[in-house]
Amino acid sequence: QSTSTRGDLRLSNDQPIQIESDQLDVKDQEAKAIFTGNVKVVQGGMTMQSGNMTVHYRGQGTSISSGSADIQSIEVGGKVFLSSGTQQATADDGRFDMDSQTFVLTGDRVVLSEGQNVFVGCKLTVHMNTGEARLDSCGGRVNIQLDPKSQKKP
Amino acid sequence: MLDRTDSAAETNAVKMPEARSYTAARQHSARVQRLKIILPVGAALISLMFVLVSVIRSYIPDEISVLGTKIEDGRIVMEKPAIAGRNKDGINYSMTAERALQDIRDPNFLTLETIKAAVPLNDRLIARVTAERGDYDRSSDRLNMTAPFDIDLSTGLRAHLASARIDVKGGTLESDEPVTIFTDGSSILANSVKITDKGHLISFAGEVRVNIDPVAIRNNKQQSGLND
Repeated sequence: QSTSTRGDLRLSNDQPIQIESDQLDVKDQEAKAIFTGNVKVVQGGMTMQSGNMTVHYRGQGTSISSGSADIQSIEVGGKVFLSSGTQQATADDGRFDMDSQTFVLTGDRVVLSEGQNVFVGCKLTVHMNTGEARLDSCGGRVNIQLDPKSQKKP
Repeated sequence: MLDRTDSAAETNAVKMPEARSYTAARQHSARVQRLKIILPVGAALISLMFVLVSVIRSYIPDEISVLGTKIEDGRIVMEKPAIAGRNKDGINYSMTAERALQDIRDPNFLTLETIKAAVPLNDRLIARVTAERGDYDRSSDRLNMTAPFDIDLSTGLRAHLASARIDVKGGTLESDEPVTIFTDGSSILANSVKITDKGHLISFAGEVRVNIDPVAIRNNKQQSGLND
């Protein structure tokens, strides 16, 4: 059982991305960059905060140090908080997959809230290019809490 | 010297034979007397020369080629020193400077001014270092950068550091002062950086800030043919 909403939890590609963290290790040979400690990613209206974030690059060796490396996927962990416009989500872990343009948040309690409406499940899948988000309950019931006032919106 | 003694011998020919041999004997002993002084002094002089040459030679390590040297207030000043060598992977590194000042008391320690160094990090990555000055320790091949300097990686990455300790042979760099790194389209700022494992591991620590320019993302997309 899942519910899906359309929102603006997405990664646009025409705005610069700012990433902040306490530590960054760029591992050339493993083609990955590991951000650890108070990781915060901001792009346009979207903010993501987590304990750590690992960026996996496509291509080999020195592509990272030349900066033109192509990001394949991003893994985030250690309590993930995502907010974009009216939508917010919290989870334990998350994975952004650039090829399929989707990101998936997982955890014991994945909470997606939009204004006063709160949806709780265990897996949130968002299609980045459309912003469509689907929350799965993985067996349990999706706990939906709708705010009556939100019904009146056109 | 020999011909002089001969002429003396001729004048003696006229005298009594005993007198002749007596004067010859006296001249011989005079000559021996002189030689006794000249030879040791000469030997001392030669050995001194030899010592001096080797001392200077040891000051200027073989792998340094120097345009000219002069001694200024107790320090050897080398013009346009060029240092070259091979690191442990057999990749050669080179370093040139406008001047190198070497303290006579510690020949291993050089203060370099206006440095240009090519430090191989690995077989594909060479770091070019340009700096106003730095201290180079010949015995350990370490370059202690005491003034702000730039590193240009052969991949197009440019780093600006306030100071750093570079192990030229080991291909490592450590700096605990703010560093900025620019690549095409993105930049990394942090309070410290450590480059180890021959450039394969770059660790930033302290208020790390990364800015990725959308241009970088977009042309990556076109390159890899991803549809938006």
